[in-house]
Amino acid sequence: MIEVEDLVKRYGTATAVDGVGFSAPAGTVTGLLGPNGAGKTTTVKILLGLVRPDRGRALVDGRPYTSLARPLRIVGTLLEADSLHRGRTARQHLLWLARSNRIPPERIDRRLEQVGLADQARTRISAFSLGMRQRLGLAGALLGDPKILLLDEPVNGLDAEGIVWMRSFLRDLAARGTAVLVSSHHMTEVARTADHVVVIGSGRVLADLPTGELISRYTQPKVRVTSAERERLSAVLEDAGYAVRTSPGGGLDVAGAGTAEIGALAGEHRIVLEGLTQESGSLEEAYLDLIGAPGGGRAHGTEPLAADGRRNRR
Amino acid sequence: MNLAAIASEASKIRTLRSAAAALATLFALSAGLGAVSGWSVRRALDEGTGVVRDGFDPVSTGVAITGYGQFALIVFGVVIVGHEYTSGMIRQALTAVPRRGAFYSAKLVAGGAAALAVAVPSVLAGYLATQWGLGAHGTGFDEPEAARALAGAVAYLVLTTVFCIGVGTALRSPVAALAVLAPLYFFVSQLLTTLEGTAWFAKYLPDQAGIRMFAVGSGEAAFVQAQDPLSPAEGGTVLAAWACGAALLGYLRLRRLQL
Repeated sequence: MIEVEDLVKRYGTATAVDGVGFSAPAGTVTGLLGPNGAGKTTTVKILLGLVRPDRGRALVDGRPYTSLARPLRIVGTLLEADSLHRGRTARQHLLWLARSNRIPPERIDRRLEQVGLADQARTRISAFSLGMRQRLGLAGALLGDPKILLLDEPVNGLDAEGIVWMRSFLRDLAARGTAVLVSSHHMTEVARTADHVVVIGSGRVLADLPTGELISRYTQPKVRVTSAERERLSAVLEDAGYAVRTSPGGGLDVAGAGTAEIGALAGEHRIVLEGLTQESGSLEEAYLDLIGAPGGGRAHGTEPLAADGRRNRR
Repeated sequence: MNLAAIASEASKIRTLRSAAAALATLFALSAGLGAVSGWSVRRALDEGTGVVRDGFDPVSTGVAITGYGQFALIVFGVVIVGHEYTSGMIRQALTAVPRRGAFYSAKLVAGGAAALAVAVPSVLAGYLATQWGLGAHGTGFDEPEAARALAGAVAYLVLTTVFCIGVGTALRSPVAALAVLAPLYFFVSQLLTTLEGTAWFAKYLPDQAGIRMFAVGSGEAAFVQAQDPLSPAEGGTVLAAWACGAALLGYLRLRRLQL
C-alpha cells in the first residue's frame, strides 16, 4: 500500500508538485499518468526519500520510506535507466544491491533469468541497450521479493515485445497481491496495464478513477459526418441540441449522437450525406483534453464541447 | 554500524575497476619506487657525490616514497564516491540505504578499510624494496624509529583516503574533487611551504602536517624541511582533524542532497 497525502514540492518559484494525494492499494496496478514535467517523477522521488517535500506525507506500507531498515525487501524500485554504473556487470550491480539489504546473493541468478538476462549476467552494463537496462532495473526491483513496486516509466526504451512482456509481468505481480505503482506519460499503455489511474498535470491530480470509468467518462463516442451542405447540416444538428465541431478532414464531428439519429435528421431536412461513421473516442485525445495540452480537442475544433462536461476540469 | 551497508560498499569497491586499479597502483608504485630510490641513494653514497645530505637515514628513505604512493589513494577516495554521482547510481544507492548517515559511514568505513588493507603491504613492500636497493647502507625493522615511521605512513595513507572521500562527497563530482586535490597536493602546499610569509601556516596543511607522522630524525629525504616542525603526534592530529572536517562537510552536503 502506497499513500500520498497533500504533497507539495517547490523548486525556487516553480511548483513541481502542488497538493498531490492518492493511494495505491495491494493487488492492483495503479497508473500515475501525466505529461513530462507534470510532477510524476518528483512524486516518486518523494516517496523514496530522495527528495524532501515542502508539505504533506508519503508513506509506503504505512511508514516513511527512510524509516525502513531493509527497504528493498518491502519496496522494489525502478528509476530512470541511467541509475546504473556502466562499468559493472549485471551480476555485480545486483550483488551490491543484494548485500545492502541482506538479500541472499543466490537470488540474483533467479531474478536475471526472470527478466530474460540470464545470458548477460557477466556482461558489462555499458554493452546493454536501454531495454536491457530497464530489464536489469526490474531485476533489481524484484530482488527483495517486495510487496510494493514503484516503477518510473518502466516501458521507456522497450521494444513492442518488451512492452507486452512488462505488461503481463506487472499484471501477474498484482494478481499475486503486490501493490504496483507505474508512472507513465503514455495513456494507452497505462489504460492497458493499470486497474486504476491517477492523472496528474502541472503538479495536481486531475483525475483519480478506475481505468474503465476514466475511459468511459473522458472518451466521448462521436459520429463523423460529411456533406456538401456542411453549414446547413451543422445548423440543423445544433438546433437539435448536439455539440458539433469541424473535424480536421473538413467533416463534422457530432458528440453524443448515434448514426441512426443523424441519418434521420439529415433525411428530414433533405440534406445529402456523403459519409456517416461512428467513431469511438480516442484515449490519447481524451488524455490531452484532460491535461489541457494544446494537442487536445479545443485546438482544432471550431467550438468547444459543452454538452458532456469534458472541459469542467480545466 | 550498518554491517549490510558496509558489505555493500565493499562489494562496490571490489567491482569498480578504477578503484581496484588505484589500489594496485599504490602497491606497484611503492615497491617499484622504493627499489629505484634505494638504488639511486646507494649509488650517490658510494660515489660520494654529495647529493645525499649528511642526515641520511635509511628508515627515512624507506618511508619517503609514501609521498608518491598517496596519489593513488587520492584517486581511490575520489572515485569510490564520484562514480555514483556521475553515473546517476547514487539514486539507487540511496533507495537501497535511505538513511544517509548509514550510507555515508559505510562508505567511509569500507573505503578506509580497503585503503588500510592495501597500505600495510604497500608500505612494508616499499620499505623492504628501498632497503634492498640501498644494499649495504640499508637497514631492517629494528631501528629505533622504524616501527613508528611505518605505522605513521600507513596511518597517513588511510587518513588521506578519508579526507578525499569527504572532499569527493562534498563536491559530488570526481572532476571537481580532483581539480581541488591535485593542485593542493602537487604544488600549492610545497609552494606555500617555501614562501616565507606562508610557511607558518603551510605546515598545518593536510599533507605537510601528515608527513610528520612518518618523518624520521632530521632526514627529510624527499620533503622540504619546515621551520619549527610539528611532532609526529601533532602532525597526525592535524591531519586527523582535516579528515574529520572533510568527512563532516561531506555528510552535511549529502544530507541536503536532493536527487
